[in-house]
Amino acid sequence: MTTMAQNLPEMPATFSFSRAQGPDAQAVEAAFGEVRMAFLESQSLGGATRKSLASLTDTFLDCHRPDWDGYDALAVRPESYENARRFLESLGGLWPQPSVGVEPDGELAFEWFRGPRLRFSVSIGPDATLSYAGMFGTSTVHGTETFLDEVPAGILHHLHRLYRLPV
Amino acid sequence: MDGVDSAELLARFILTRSHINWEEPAEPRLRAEAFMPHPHIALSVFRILGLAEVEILQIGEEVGRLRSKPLVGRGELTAAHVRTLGLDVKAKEPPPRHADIVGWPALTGTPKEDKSRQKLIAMQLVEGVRLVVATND
Repeated sequence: MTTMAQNLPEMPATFSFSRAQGPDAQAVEAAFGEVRMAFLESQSLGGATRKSLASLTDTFLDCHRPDWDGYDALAVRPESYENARRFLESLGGLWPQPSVGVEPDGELAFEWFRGPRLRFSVSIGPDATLSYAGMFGTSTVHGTETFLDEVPAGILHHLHRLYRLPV
Repeated sequence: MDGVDSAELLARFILTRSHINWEEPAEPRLRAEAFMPHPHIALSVFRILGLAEVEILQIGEEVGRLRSKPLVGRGELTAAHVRTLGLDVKAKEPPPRHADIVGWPALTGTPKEDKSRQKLIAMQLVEGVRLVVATND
């Protein structure tokens, strides 16, 4: 994975535009334009959130083509990136920043990890449905929520639960 | 397909850095996403019990070569750990020593709900996994 966070506030070198033409090339270029705008907008956010957004952008750029994992994974779609970015921004600085990952179905994942059997993960794709799973000691949870413009109360409940447990 | 003894050690070869959390470079951590099955509802692993490190590396390098990806590392776990989570391990050759972790929730009922179950199982799996990072990475 590239380390764009170290390059802030400069633009990442990976934002290059090809000379390919045709509808597909235009669609890809438009998607990267949106990523570029999101990157620029993120410059006004707090340091921790900005770092997570940089990590999210790195992950998208690393995995925007199919088979990025060598096991036939689906590409991360620009819509998934956009939804993940909105989710991350809506969290604000109220919680420890999650680490960013990507799942083989092309959904982006945020994980909060406190230690063995103390973790919570939320993933989001192009339709803005959140899939989550968590381990809180001997208890486990999993389920789905819909993300509109605010982090669903169910997700916040599980984050509360994770961070009030002793490590 | 044949059964695999619960005492056997299995390796899931990692071919992308995105599946490892590098936030603490001295102590990288394997992410649960590396153990999520997709697009198949079986997870490809290799049986490595009794093999020397160099032999395991040879298998991993070959997996990477066939898939045109660099070998980043591997996650090691026992068949017994897999079975405690309600999954199973079945030998599936060729190639030699290949097996599948099967028994995952299929994405057929309510797909997102089933996916969240897969997430949880992958999370539980990775709790019992030892990460070995490829030294040539």
